[in-house]
Amino acid sequence: MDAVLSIQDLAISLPPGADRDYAVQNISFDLNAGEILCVVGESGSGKSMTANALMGLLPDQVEVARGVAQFEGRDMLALPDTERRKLRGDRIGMIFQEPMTALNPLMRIGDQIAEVFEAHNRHTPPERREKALALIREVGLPDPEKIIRAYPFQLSGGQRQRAMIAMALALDPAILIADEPTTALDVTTQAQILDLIKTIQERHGMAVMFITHDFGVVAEIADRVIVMRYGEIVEQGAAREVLSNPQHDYTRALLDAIPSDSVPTPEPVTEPPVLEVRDLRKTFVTSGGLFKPTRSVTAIDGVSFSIARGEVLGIVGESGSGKSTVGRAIVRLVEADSGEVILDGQDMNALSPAELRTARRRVQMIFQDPYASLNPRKKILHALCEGPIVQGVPKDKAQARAHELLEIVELDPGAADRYPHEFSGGQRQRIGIARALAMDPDLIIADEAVSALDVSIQAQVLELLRDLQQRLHLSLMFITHDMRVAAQLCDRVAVMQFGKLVEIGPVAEVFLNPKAEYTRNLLAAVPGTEWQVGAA
Amino acid sequence: MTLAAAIFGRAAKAVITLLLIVILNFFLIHAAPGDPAMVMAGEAGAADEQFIQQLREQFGLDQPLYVQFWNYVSGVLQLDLGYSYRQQMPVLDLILDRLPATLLLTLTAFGMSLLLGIAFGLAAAARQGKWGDTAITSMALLFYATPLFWVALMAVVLFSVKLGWFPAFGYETVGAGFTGLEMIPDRLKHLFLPALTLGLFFMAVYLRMTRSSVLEVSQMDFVKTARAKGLAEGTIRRRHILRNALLPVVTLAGLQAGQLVGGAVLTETVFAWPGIGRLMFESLTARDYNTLLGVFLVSAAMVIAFNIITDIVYRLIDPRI
Amino acid sequence: MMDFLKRFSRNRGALIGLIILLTVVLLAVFAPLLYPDSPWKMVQRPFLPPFSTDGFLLGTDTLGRDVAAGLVHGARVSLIVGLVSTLVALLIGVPLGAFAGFYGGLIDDGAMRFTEFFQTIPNFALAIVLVAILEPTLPTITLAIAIVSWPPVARLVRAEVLSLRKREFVDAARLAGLSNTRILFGHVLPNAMSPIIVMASLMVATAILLESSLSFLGLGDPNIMSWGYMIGAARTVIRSAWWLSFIPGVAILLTVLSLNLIGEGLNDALNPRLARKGR
Repeated sequence: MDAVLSIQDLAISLPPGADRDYAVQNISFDLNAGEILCVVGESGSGKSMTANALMGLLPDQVEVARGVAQFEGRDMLALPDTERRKLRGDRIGMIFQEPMTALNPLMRIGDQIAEVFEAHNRHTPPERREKALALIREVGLPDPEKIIRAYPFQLSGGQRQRAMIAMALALDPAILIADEPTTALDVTTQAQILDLIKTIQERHGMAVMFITHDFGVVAEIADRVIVMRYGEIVEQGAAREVLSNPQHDYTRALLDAIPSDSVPTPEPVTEPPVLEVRDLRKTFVTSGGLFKPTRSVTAIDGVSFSIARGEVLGIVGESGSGKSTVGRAIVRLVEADSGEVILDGQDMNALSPAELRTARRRVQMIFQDPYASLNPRKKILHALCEGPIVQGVPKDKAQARAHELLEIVELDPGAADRYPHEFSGGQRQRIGIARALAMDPDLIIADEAVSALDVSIQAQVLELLRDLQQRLHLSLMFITHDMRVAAQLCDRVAVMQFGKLVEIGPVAEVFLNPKAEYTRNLLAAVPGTEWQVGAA
Repeated sequence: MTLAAAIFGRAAKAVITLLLIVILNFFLIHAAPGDPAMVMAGEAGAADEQFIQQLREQFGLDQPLYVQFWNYVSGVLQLDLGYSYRQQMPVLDLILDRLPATLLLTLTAFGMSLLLGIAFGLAAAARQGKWGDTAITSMALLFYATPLFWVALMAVVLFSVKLGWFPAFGYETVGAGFTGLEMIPDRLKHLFLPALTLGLFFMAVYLRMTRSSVLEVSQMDFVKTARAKGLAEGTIRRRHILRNALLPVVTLAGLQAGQLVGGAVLTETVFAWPGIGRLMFESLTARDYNTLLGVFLVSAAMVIAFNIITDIVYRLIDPRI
Repeated sequence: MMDFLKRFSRNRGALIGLIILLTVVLLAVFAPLLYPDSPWKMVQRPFLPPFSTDGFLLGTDTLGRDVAAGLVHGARVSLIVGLVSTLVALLIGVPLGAFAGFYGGLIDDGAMRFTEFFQTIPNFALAIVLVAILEPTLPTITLAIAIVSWPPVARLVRAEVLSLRKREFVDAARLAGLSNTRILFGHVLPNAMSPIIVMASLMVATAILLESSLSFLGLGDPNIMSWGYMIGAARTVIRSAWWLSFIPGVAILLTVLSLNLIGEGLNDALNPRLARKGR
């Protein structure tokens, strides 16, 4: 194998005052021609920094401290800026995580692609346009003549990522660096983009350095893999080898943390339903005012289901499927247009605002964003006590309970007197769980409660949830976009698409023997499925 | 939404706003101490009871309030802004007579402050954290804190009294008899100090906005994309950063229009510039409320027109709307 | 809190601003002790230049009044009008913006049309008209300045509340059964305080500029000495005694500058990650 790029002993220094001296150090690896090399790690592992250092795109005050990166006979890290610039976009292309912000909002897609040729003085303007059209076709964007004149806001996330790929591809680079290019995308879109990258890599014989946090993605596309933690490489090798036989403890822990597809044996639902949702409907109408047309989006389109006491029901779907709106409509954070939400015989939708305030205690939520779900100006004790006190629990009792709950979610009781910013994301999510439990609810709705967390933290929080659910016999509605997470925790799952429930049933049935075509597509799109099935 | 529909919508809103100002004016007149007839009589220099009574009848001031209200509003709708006894002229004529001078002054000051503000803002952003940046932002801070009328006075002291470079007041050299093209340099000489002093504060505003906006846009993902394409820094700054950074500046410029007209009152007063700002000051000292409120209404109309123009400019730059 | 003080004190400009402002405040507070006589009183022959006569540090004006006395007494008006009008503007703007942002819908539409209307009217012209018609006294001047200053507050608070009310901790408070008022005042507004404080400090500066502009035009309270009046009165003698206009102007400039510096310092200290300064 011949290395296109060979990195030796790379170290990147952080500005003084950062939590460590080096973003990465002791980094040495080769990127071989025609291979896809995945760099895996959790947030803060320094995986993106490595890529940015190669491109010369490090943020201010972050600098390459030492190291060599041999590319086409030269050390890239030692090149002057002007030489480095000539390599960018020409010999090395790069795509980024956020397709929504990575394109200039005021410039047409065609111009943004043609700009790559202009930057390197290739072709005449009409030729550039022709080439841009060809690239748009190659990356599979529909209606190229229209896309070339479109502005980014007129494209979906997946389409924008395709446009980004077209730009990176324009000058047929030797290396493509992809920095978490599918993280912000839905699972089916992710599958398409992964496919596209793979196809293009084969067709052009490029070397791809693919940065990701997701071992599923690794299993899907990687030839070789590098695992990073705290700025150092802990393991590298052939993808198959690392996945099936990890050498380093950290790699093993990461792999173990991935929710597996091994589906729990379903227990028959025997208990009476705690919640029954009947024919729930919600259409969002944005009134445009005097001269704008009104737009309406049907978020919930006649959804009915029930949750038994002590049962975990998963609601899965992609963004825009209406899964979150269902959760919010049940607790009336969103007012449904019609339908019944019956909680122990009482229709929540029929309650007056005053009645609702007391009835709300019975359904609580755990939210997605650990940084937005706690009031930054209130101590944890306040967060845990305010609700019960409002509901009439005496203050000293509520406080005693709060301390008890902190213990239950495995936090230090001293946490009560601290402010949210003193906690990590995972800890905050535990506090969110404690807050929901403090209200002693009949049902807890967890809305993407682990999606914002790194995979190892995610595993811990899931473990806690499962444990609490069994110990306290909780009824749980678990909303997630992640099929694996759903498989791990839920008794039954409901699959949503375009506001409709396309399928509902015991986990094993839905996942192993899906009836709806959409469910099948969704499952097929989950990266790394084959590898896991093989491993199980 | 099409541009035409947007303009139509804005125009409809503008008409409503102006109507509300007319109503506000009516109530302000009645809020003034003493009834308008007495004020008018005072203006006309005669104050005997009979004359005042005659005035009341003549202007319908003995009628019930709602009749007076209707008379006033319908009058304004027919462009009748009342009569100035002090100047012995209809208020509208007075204003139309003075308006060109104010437009010349405010538009010059606006153009100058916008150009200089953006240019200095870009220069400061390009030198972020270096001494050039510090010098420019300190200058902006100083202008931002300086009372406009005081800068104007000090400019007179320095450039007219001490150095003698520019005339201290007026619109043209009285009695020089310049005609045609000869007029232009003379006018420019007179225009320079008022426009400069009026523009300095706004230049500081646009400068600070441009600087912070450029710094913010420079951090955005698409700028990194542009770098990854291998574009030269100059191209990135011109094509990707500048256009996106100017959007909030345009919005701000629209919002500042009202202040510009307010500032014109002070500048025109100091430089004896024969515009509607100076007219406002004159009517103030003469307690000529008809003129005062007329100028107020017209200046509001100017601001609205200006806002509509910036709105259109914004729509032309930003494809998203 | 300690963090905040540390960050603020690290900002050199803000510290300079604080020192200047404290000096002005002290002079204003002790004005009756420093210059017990009325600043209107003629005490010497007119047109004494600064630093020329003992006991009249800054000289005398056109009528032989002590300029230094005028300056010190004028500081009181500037500070009081600046402070009170800002408070009144906050009292109008904060509730209006908060309700508009929090309740949305028709309340929001109505409140924002109202705000837009006031924002469209050229604010200095409106202040002139109000003061002229209501007769210039300290309360009318203060009120007029407040009336033209509140719209930006309402817009800022509305924007803050709009973004805060979508935060999940507000949802959580709602699920806990808290009333709307309690959520708004207990959870939403406290989180909007930093930008409001920053804006308020800059508003005091703008109010001082407005007050001095009004009294320059002769719309000051005729019984109270103010900086703007001093400049306006000395305008006619600008050719022969320019310093009479110059000195009070420097006082305004320094006071306004100090408030701006403090505002920027507060902004950097309260929103360490946000470097936005647009208004």
